[in-house]
Amino acid sequence: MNLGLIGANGQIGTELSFLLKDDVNLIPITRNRLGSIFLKHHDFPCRISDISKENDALESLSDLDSVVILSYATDPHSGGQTRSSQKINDEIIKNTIKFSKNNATIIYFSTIRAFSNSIVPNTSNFWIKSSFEKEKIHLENLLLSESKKNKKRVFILRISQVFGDGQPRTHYFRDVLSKEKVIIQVSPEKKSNIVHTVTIKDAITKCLEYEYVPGIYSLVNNPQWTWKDVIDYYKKPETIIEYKPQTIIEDKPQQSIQNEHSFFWNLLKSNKKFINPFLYYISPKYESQIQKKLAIKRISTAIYNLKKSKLMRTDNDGKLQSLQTRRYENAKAYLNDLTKNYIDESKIPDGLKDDLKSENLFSIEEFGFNPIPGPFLNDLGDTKKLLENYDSKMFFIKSLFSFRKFSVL
Amino acid sequence: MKIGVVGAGRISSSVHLPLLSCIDTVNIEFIADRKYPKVLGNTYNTKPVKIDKISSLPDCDIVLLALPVGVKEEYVREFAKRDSYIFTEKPFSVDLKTHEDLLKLSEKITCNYTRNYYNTTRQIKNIISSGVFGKIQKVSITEGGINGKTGLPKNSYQNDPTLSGGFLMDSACHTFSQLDFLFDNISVQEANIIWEDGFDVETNAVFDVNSDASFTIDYMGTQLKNVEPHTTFFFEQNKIQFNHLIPDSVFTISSLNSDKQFILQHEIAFASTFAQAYYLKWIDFLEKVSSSSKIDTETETSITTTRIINDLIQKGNKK
Repeated sequence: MNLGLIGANGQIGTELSFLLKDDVNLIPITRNRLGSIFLKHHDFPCRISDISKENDALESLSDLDSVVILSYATDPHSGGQTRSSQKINDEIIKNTIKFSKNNATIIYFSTIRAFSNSIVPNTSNFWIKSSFEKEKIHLENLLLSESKKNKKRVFILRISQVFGDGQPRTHYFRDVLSKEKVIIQVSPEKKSNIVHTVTIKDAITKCLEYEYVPGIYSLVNNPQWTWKDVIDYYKKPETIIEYKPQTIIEDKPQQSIQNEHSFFWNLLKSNKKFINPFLYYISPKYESQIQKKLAIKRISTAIYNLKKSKLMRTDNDGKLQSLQTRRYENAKAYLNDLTKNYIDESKIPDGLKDDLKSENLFSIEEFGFNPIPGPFLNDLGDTKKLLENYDSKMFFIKSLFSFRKFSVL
Repeated sequence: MKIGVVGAGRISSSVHLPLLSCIDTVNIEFIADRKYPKVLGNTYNTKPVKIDKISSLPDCDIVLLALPVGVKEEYVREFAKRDSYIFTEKPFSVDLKTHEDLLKLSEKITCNYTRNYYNTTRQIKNIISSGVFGKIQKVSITEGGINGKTGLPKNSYQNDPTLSGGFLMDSACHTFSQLDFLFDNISVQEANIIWEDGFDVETNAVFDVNSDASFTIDYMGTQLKNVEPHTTFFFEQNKIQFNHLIPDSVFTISSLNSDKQFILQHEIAFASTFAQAYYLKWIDFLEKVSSSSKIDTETETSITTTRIINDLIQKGNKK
């Protein structure tokens, strides 16, 4: 069973590569040489291939029995979607369907945001809907129509937050939940929609079995974890947890801004959140202009904030003093400032604040999500058992991915 | 001042061109690239130039060379010959010999090492020079992380180690430029480098610093592990920790024999965002140009950074 993983160098792809390598003949596919380095270092037989290009896809996919698509192109300037990035996403799907083996199984990862507002309350409506949601829904539809035409087995797995040792969100949870006391702003019994990479791996292997019926599925831990399950799993034993559910506050509508320019450009300049939806629809010939507007807005704001700072070093004419010749000058000001305070026996100045707060509020957007509706894949393994098994056998992977600090005197 | 931009890649389109557009005293004279940069030229109302012959590039007061390090040399030679001011992207050169040779050609050159304008860098400089915590005993630096999504196209120059240069040249050079800014006399004591497919992917090294006080710096830059980037300064009784990669890092301080950490409050006097650091670098250079003051090119281009990378690669057994 040759299984190709398109986008194998992403955070989820990298971890899945390690999890899947003993179950299938795994072929990680990365778009460029730099992206393949880590996997190559661990002896994965990487293929460097831009699947949005027909020649590359033909060369890389024709011997694959199944393909997992994890890649998702975005505009490098805005991080959202433009016509150019949409074209890349379209071509990846079309080429994967076209050039994989005739009876190949294609597995595509989509998002919980493809559901309506009732599941993700802050999801916007109408044209202001985020480009991520729109693009994922579009790609789901494209995948279904292309697979129908080409008679391929296609599974679309809608996921929310992914946890695993290589996922930054996991690190963030561990960090927050290591404090002395944490107030969690969600009901403990509310269902979370999180999924661990071990369950994603389990789902992929199930999809490869022919008794599973292709279609769109939701994928969460099995059985679905409550937020209490998540918190208990990641908190330190000594951390005190208190639950204080919070009312969801919806985003306030943005006020319009008036100045000497047109309404259209004002809208574009006012907020990146408003610009990205435009980028989704606008012809590629205007992309460069919009990117320029975005970049200038970002930089002029930064310059304005810098100039606003009273501490900026300027001479009487308002010109910036030579920075290169003031290497030590500022130290005096700093020292004067410090010596205003007393220095205790350990030489720690009084201008220091205790970093160890006794309580920490913890709230994330996903606490406001409602439980993801099905259908779900049947007969997935129990996530907790999969994690136990993973913990005992995958010490190497855990040590590889865990975030570490190194500094010992 | 007339500025010519050579290289129409992402750093030009997302940083330099919009930034220069925000500075009243400059005029972007042209944008040149091997591929005809028509769209970018039109977007910034400047002349797009397809580079066929380097000697045919238009004249300008300052040229920005936003090019891969592996192809930069002949452009430096050309614009040095014309006596133009030269603002190059980092790293400055592929090796120490080339760096020294290029500095012989021009006294009007700088390299875009922006971290020296970070509030973070200035803050630790102030702490060290104040001597308030005593002498430095040791420094420890960790940076990197598993690469993940690169966002680069298949044919990006960064995929070619001969044009770019892996972790040391592409990323760690910034950190070494900070060390150059902080310490006067720094050398490589030992180094061990792991190579993969022509790229350096992990470097473990020890540096010696011999200035007012002598101490060592333990350095680890890796793309093979997930690490939290940070720098720790060990003083006589305290240690200070911060993230040297970001402009507005929080500084924490703790006693050597205690885990209890405090946040060190400090003033914001320099760049607290990446865009501000780029702006300060440009403004600094433009002021030197307009005042015609003599430029210390070894400092401006951080020859120490190139020397460190050179020594690391030699001691780390280049493959």
